[in-house]
Amino acid sequence: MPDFQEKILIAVNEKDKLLYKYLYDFYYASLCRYASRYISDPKKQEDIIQDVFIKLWELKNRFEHIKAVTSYLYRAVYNSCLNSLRDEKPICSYDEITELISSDMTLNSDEYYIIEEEYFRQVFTVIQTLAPQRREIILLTLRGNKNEEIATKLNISINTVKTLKKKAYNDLRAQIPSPITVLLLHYLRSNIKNN
Amino acid sequence: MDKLFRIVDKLCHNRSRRLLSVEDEELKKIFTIDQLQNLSSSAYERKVLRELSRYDSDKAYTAFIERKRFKRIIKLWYRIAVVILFSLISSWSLWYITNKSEIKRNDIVHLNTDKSKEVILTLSEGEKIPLKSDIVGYLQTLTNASLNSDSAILLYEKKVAQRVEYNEIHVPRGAEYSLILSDGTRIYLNSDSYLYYPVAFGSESREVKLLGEAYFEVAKDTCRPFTVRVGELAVKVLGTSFNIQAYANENTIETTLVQGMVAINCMSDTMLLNPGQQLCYLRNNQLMYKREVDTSLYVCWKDGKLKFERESLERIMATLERWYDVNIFFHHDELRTYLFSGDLKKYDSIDQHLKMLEETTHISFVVQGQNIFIGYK
Repeated sequence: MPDFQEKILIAVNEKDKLLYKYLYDFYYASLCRYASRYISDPKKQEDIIQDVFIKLWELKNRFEHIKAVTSYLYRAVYNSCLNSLRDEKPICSYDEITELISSDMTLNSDEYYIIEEEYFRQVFTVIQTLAPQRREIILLTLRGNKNEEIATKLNISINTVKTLKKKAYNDLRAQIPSPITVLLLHYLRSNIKNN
Repeated sequence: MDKLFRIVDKLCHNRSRRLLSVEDEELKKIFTIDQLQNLSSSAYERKVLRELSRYDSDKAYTAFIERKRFKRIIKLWYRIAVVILFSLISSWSLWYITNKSEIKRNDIVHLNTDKSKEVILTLSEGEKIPLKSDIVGYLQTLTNASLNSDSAILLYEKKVAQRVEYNEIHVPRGAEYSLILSDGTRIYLNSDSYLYYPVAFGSESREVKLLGEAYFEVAKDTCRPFTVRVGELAVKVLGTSFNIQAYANENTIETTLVQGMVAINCMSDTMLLNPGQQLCYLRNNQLMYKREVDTSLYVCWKDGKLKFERESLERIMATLERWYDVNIFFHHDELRTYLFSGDLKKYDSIDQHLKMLEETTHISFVVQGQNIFIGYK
């Protein structure tokens, strides 16, 4: 993982187009889900994230640490969501805004959202480190597709799906020997059993 | 934000040890029971991972790259457009400028070829020669002077004379001329001016006589002071730049110093001028006084400009009379004292200047041939 964090940092600071792919792999989905807390339209959520990434690309500032990038992203998405809400609705009631900005929970709700997103992102990004075809298979599995369905979708045989899946598990175990991976594998297996 | 990251780290750590829903006091303090249950439930986790997997980051990245490429193409076209536009504008303006300066030059040529506006050089024997390009060889044999290529400058060879011989040059109305004397001193002569000077200076002093207006750039020579005689005045210098206006039909003689130092003698009086100062001599009551001036107003005529600052219409018109060789008549005497300020280009036609004055005031000009009548609208 630290390796990828390094790459993302370079991508952002040096404006490297190829390495920028990692930013998409590791943050895109989580940020979209974070935006979905404020914006209901999925199309608009994705547009907001795309704009935030483009703004980050055009940003002259350099980031010292990956945590700074992460903070920037959450804050930027949050602001963009509120702006979008403001521009969308001609009249925003005071209650709606206060509800958005704070809540009387122990933790601000948006802070909780960030925690949740970051927490699951740690799990999710592990998948993103896989080779493209293997990653595709895992993602399709996550979406609840059975081996046969994956085979027809990717135009490969069931046996290939099975071997690729196995290899993907091995990759996950080899590349990232973190406890999270163990759990992810456990989860994936249970997922398959459920299917 | 740091606190949030720390909590996330803690959650991940606890999760790997399957402790999430259990006894971590700090986490319990932070989250509500619902939230903790959510975070630890595998059903919820499955739901989240499924939601996350629906967002297509590959597609978004492709869109991003497409957009970058599109932007680069736009930028490229923008640059090309700027270059094309710039070259178009510059070639047009070049064409415009050269065309315009051609017109200017034609004007001068026109002035110089006009019979009445020929600059006349009178030699010591009394022979009068109009200065034109076809006399170059002839001039060389008679004196040690030469004309430069466009016959706009008369140049004397450097030489110290055994016998002092004088030439006189007359610049008529509507013309201007410049010459370089044998010591290297450059003199710009304005319209309607006479200069009387030796072909080569003697070994002790340099002396010329002026009637009209001239700008002097005197070559430095500490052994031989340079003296300009204007009427009763003698302007004595070593090496400086200054302007003298002393027209026969004007009451004042103005000496304006641009740089260096000059001493002005009038009978027994001597006055010194510093740069930026002007000495006015009133002929009718033989009075001299000094004042600080903006020198550019008095010397800009040699650079193709005419500048006036709170100047009376009478004096402005006197300047125009000389330069454009016209005669001015005032219908009402009070018009003479009207004050004006402005920058004029010398090589523009007088019509343009008159039009400008008419547009901004209630004065009107009636032009009949060489005569201009000034009255109210």
